[in-house]
Amino acid sequence: MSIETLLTPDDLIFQDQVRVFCREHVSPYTAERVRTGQPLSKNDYVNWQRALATRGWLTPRWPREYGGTEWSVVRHYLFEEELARANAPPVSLTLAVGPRLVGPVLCEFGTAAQRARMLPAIKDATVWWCQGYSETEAGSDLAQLRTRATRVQGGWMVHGTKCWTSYAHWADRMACLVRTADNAKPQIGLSLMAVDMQAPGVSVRPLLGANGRHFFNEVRLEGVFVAEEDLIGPPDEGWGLAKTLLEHERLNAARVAENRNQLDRAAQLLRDLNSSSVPEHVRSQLAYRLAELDADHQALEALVVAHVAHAAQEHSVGPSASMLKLRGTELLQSVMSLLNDMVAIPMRMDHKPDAFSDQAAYAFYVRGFTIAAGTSEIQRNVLARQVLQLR
Amino acid sequence: MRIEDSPQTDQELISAFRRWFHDHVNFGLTAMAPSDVETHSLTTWWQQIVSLGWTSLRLREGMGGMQANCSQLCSLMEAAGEAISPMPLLENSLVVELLSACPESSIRDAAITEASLGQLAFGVQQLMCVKLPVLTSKAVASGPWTLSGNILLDFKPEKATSVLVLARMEGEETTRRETALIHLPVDHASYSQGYAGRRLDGRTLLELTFESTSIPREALVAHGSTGHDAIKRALSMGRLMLCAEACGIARRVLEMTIEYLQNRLQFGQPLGKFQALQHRAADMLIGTTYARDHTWETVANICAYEAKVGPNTPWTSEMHRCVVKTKIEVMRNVTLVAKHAIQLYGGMGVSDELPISHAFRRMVVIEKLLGSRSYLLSKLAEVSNCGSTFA
Repeated sequence: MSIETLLTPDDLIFQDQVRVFCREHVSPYTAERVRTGQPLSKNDYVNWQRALATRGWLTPRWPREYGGTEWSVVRHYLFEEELARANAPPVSLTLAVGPRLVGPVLCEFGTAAQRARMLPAIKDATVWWCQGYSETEAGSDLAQLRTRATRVQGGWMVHGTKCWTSYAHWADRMACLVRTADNAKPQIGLSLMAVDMQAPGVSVRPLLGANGRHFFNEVRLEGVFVAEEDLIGPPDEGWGLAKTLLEHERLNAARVAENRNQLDRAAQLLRDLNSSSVPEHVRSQLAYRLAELDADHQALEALVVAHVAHAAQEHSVGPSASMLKLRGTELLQSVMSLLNDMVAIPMRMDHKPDAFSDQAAYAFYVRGFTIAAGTSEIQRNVLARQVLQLR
Repeated sequence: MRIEDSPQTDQELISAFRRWFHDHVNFGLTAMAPSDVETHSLTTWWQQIVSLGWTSLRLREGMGGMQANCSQLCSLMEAAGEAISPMPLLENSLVVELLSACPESSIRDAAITEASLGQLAFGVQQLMCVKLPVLTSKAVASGPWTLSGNILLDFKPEKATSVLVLARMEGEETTRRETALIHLPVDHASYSQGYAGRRLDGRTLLELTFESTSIPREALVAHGSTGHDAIKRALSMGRLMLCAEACGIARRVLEMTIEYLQNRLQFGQPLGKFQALQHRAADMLIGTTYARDHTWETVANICAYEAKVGPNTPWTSEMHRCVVKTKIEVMRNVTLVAKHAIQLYGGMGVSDELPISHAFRRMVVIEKLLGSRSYLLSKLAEVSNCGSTFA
């Protein structure tokens, strides 16, 4: 069962529109860099987001009154997959914190003044936001975070350190989760604040990824003043603000299109090997592995489509969607291992060694997919406890 | 047989290796930027290793070596692995191994002296004998020969004086049957040299290009079937050394990960209390134990063979096949250990901040060097099917 079975005639027209848009706005150079896991510049992302914004597609999940599209669950899923299929610059939570997290939270919980002040710059991608949630002692157990905001005249004084803050070095603002009150239950007493990254007391230190790329940072907040009007949502209730709003995004966590792109890449590499002097036994082995992963991908797509159909009907995603991220990210890691083998094959001495290092760096980056946004262990816990009721 | 069960004299040597790496390397260096490593401290350490005689362990005493057996050499590699050391011990040891198997001559002895002083540049992947440069001559007895093609160097010490090049002799149909070992001065005007990238584990790669480069007859260290046998032996020895290094890395990774699980608190308790993580840790223990037991069993068999027939007797086809199977299985197990470790470390595991990601990167490279698991499996399958010997 593929997604096409769920599409109405209007959805098919929409699908075509998205494909045309991507062809017009994603250059072959950019698409190739995305396809092979090469880094993009901030301009690449901003230009793409502005192109989407011009079309009204940067903030599709916002309420219509603020610029959202009111698409169906199916259309939202389709849109994300078509962008991934075109190897467009990702507009993921880490690379579009404003449109994906801050915007929806402001729409739902912000004041009119905040919406008037902050939403326009998010909508037209002129302000870059980063997400300041995790800390050294608060990874999976985010509620243990220690960055604290204490009341001062006119606002709050913030002290603490955030880490693994993606693209903080590019950011103008940070959506920062801080502790504003102590409570027996650690999830209570957290607040979401908009921090000006240029404010005195804010310093950013790069945390190099193991693949040699710079996207993570450590952000120190040493006596940073945050004005009252930059507290988003009710004080002490920041924990739940973003959680339910991200629910529908879980349908795309399986990375179906991304997996397909990488499998297609592997198939192309195998065809290249077939026309080279690589011995048949090597090619056979790689072909066998590719076939296995290809079959796995078909099963994954069926799983996702079933979940999309269910979500469209029930208007909720449900905890079983945890298996989408679980299976999709683990499949992608297997595909990356295969690509590593194909690129590193000793016969390919005509390849520059950089090609292997680049591919291996990409594969290493993908190892983070089973960690970020809820580790595979957490996903299994969710399935065991909430679906199977094992407690 | 485990390394811990080896004779007392070997235990003392192993302790000496471990102590040196612990005192001088112990990751602190690999945390430095690669350029710092290579230009400063690596040179200093390398000179210390040369003065300790560790660059010529396998040479017989009359040639300035320690006449070390396979077990002692692999012990050095395991100690280097535990320290996640960037030292080019493999490359230098294989050069010595290669030269030791060549017929005695003044050029060979001169090359061995250079290798003992850690001054002979080399590229280990040449041992795979794929797309080697071609050495042509009109007649065997007269010269000069000409060399065309390119090689990749992954080991060029700062004080290198010469480089060892493998070449395929003209007119031969197979890639391995007739190979030549050529000793050339480093940085010579007769060939060009270019930067070929930085490998995932930080090693700088250089490409040497020969365009009908004139090769004097006296530069040939070995050729014909003699060269082929020497290469086979060095290739198998190299694979076993990589297994030993990988075992050292796995041991260290397991140790670090257990410590992390015991100390890192999330959700009010050490991570090690969570059953899902305990299972991963248990799998890491199994993988590490399997890898070490397998490696040291193969090492013990080779030592027994060499003790019986002498260190210069060529290994049997069955021994070469045994080493291939060892690398296949050891890499399966240690790769699992590394992947589990990254997952257990969470966000820190995919950053550059901790030894764990450096260990993972080196593990990825080890798996690919001298034949990836994928390549060796398919080769083994072909050999099994055809009933031919493993060459």
